[in-house]
Amino acid sequence: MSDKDRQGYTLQEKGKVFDSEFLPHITSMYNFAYRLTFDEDDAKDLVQDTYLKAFRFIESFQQGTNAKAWLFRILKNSFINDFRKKSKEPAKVDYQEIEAYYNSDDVDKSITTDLRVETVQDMIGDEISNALNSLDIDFRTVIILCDLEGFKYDEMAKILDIPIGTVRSRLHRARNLLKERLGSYAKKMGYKNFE
Amino acid sequence: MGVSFTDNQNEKQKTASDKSDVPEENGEHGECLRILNLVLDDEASDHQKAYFKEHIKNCMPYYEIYNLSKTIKTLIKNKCNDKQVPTGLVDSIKHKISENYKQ
Repeated sequence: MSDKDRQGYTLQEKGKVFDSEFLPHITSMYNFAYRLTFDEDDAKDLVQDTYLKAFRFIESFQQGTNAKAWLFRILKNSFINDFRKKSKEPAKVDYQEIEAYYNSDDVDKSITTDLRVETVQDMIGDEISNALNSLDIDFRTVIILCDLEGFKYDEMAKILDIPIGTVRSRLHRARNLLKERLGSYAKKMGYKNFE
Repeated sequence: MGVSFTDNQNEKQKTASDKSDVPEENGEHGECLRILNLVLDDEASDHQKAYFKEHIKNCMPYYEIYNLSKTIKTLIKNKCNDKQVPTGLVDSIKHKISENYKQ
């Protein structure tokens, strides 16, 4: 049985799909990988592994559908299965603290700091980036997918294998946590608008 | 996915905060809070957008919360996507593919 008969694409056609549909997303993929692993070499390996898998399973990708979401889903699964154990994440938030937060009423409050627009606008990129990186991976991921990459809730649900309702609640909690981290940072650094 | 927004227990809003600068999260404020992220992420219906817009006209705390959330979202978009793809990564991927799938 020829390659074309078995998989629908010739090798040449696969190459065209790969180049036109998959490779344009490599910058987003690398940034996502880096935000998950916090290590340039691991991020590089993760992206490479993801693209090799994408090529191997290219026949299951339907042209015209969302290639970026399909690739992100592969990358996320590769990270969980192969990379998470060895990734060099920064100081992790204590697991019990996360659990306590999940189970407390605080998660559904609208805002918990005195953080103001002017204060945030004064911050430089590193402060925003560090606050994002300090979040637990599940919270960090929804903010990356939504705010950095612009995925819609239904796409995020498919990438993460969770219901849309969970995407919404996790995003709400992630944003509250991020505001808390930025507020704490602003207070510590003596930004204006903070006593 | 078979799960609607209203089906999810997590969507239930909690009762009011006792902080003076935070509006009570029930009634109109509760609805406003429920759809704040939807508006922020362009996931709200036209009706929800209109409701939200009308509400924050007369509600300074939620106006500020919305603007703060929007500012943070914009800053993340503009300042956290700065890693350059390593030189040679694309070539390396293509080389591995051609090695694995030699005709």
